[in-house]
Amino acid sequence: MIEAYGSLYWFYILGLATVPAIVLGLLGKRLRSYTRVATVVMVVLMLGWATGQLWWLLGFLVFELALVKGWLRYRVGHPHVNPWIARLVAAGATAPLVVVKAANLFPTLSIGFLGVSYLSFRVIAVVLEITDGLIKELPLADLTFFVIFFPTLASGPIDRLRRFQQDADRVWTREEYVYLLGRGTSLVLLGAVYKFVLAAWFTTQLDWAVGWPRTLAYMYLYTGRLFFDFAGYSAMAVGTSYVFGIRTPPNFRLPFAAESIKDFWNRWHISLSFWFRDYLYTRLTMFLMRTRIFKAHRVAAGRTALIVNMTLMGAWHGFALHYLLYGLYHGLLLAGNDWYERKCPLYAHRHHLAYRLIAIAVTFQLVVFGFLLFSGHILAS
Amino acid sequence: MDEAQELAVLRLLVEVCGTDAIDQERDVDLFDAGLLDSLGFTHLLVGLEDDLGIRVPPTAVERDEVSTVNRILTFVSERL
Repeated sequence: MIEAYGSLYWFYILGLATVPAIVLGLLGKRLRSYTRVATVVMVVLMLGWATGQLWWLLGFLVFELALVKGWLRYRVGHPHVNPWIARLVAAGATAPLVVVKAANLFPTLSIGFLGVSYLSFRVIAVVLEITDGLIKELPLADLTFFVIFFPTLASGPIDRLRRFQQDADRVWTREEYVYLLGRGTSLVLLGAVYKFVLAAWFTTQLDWAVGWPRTLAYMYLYTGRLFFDFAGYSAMAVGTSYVFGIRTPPNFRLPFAAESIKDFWNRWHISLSFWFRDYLYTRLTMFLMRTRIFKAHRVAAGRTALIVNMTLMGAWHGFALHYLLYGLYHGLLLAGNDWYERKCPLYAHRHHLAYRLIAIAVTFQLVVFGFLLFSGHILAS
Repeated sequence: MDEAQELAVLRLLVEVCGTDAIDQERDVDLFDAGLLDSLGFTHLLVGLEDDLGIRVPPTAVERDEVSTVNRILTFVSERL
C-alpha cells in the first residue's frame, strides 16, 4: 500500500508510470489505452494486496456499475419515470457511502477503501444525469475508468463524466500535449511545495497551540495546514491528470481572497461544493419551491435548502458532532449572506475598494472560525 | 417568442434578481453583477417550468447560457 502523493517511493513509481504516457503524448498518439493499464496497476499498488481494500473496491464497483447499467437500460426504455423510482435508485447509489461512514463510528469495524467518497460522488452524479436524460449510452469500460481514474482516486477532485469522456476520447496533437505536460508538471511541483514545505511547516507549529488564548493561534495555523495540505494534494492530482491527457478541474482558486462566504464556496474545494450545488442543492430547492409551504416563498425555500445542503456536506466528512456543527455553521452563514445581499443597503457599495478589503477580512475571519469548529479542537478541550 | 412570453420572462427575472433594473442593460453579466447566484439560477429554472412550461434539468444548462438577459431570452425562445 503506497500513500498517493505521500512519499518519495510514490513519486518514483508515478515517474515510471508517466514515461509511456509522455512518450505517447509527444508522438501525438492516443493515450486512453495506456492510461487504463496504468490506472489498474496504480490502483492495485495504492490499495495494496494485503489490506482487503481491493476486495471492497471490487464489491463496490460490481454493485454500482450494475446499478448504473440497469438504470440506464430502464431509463432509455421509459421516457417518463416515476420520480420515486428515480429517488430510490439515487439512494441505492448512495448506500455504500452511508454504510462506510456509519461503520466509521465503530473503530473496530474496518470496511471501505481509499477514496470511497469520491468514487461514490462520481457514480451518484452519473445516476442523476441518466435520470435527467443527459446520458443515453455508456460503455462499461468508459464508466469504470472514469470512476477509478488513479490520479484522482484518493481525494478527488471530482470530475464529471461527460467532461472527462471528452478528454479521454481525444487524441491530443503534439503541441497540445506539450502544453498539457508543461502545465501538469508545474502543478505537481507547486503542489509538492504546498504539501511538503508549507503544510509541513504549519504542522510543526500546531503542537504548542494548547489552551486559550493559544486556541486563537491554533485556528490560524490549522487553517494554514488544511489549505496547503489539501490544495497541495489537489494541485498534484490535477497536474498528474494533465500528464495523462485529462484536464481534471481545479479544487482551489485563491480561497482567502473571497469577498463573501458565497464567493468562498466558489473558490474552496470547488469540485465538491459544485457537486453539492448541482446534484443536491439545486434539486432540493426545486423540490421545496413546489411544496405547499414554500410555494409563495421561493427565496425561503432556497435558504432552507442552503442550510440542509451544507449540513449534509458537513456530515459527509463524518458523523461526528463537530463536522455537523461545521456544516450547519456554513449553511447559516450562506443563508445570512443571501439575506444580506437582498436586503442590506450596504451591499450597494460592494464595488468600492474599501468595502472589498473589509469584506475579504471579515470573510476570512468567518472562514477560519469555521475551520476551528471543523478541527474538533474546541469540543475536545 | 411573442410579446406576452417575453414579458413573462422579464417579470420572472425581476422576481429572481430582486430588482427591476435588469431591463435596461440586457448584456450585463448577471452573475458578475451579483444579481444571479445558485439560488437565483434555481429560481429561474423553476419559474421557466411553472410559468412557461419549459423543463430544463439543472445540469443540462451551463451558466454561460443564461448569464445575461439577452442570453436568457435566446435560451427560452430556442425551447418554446
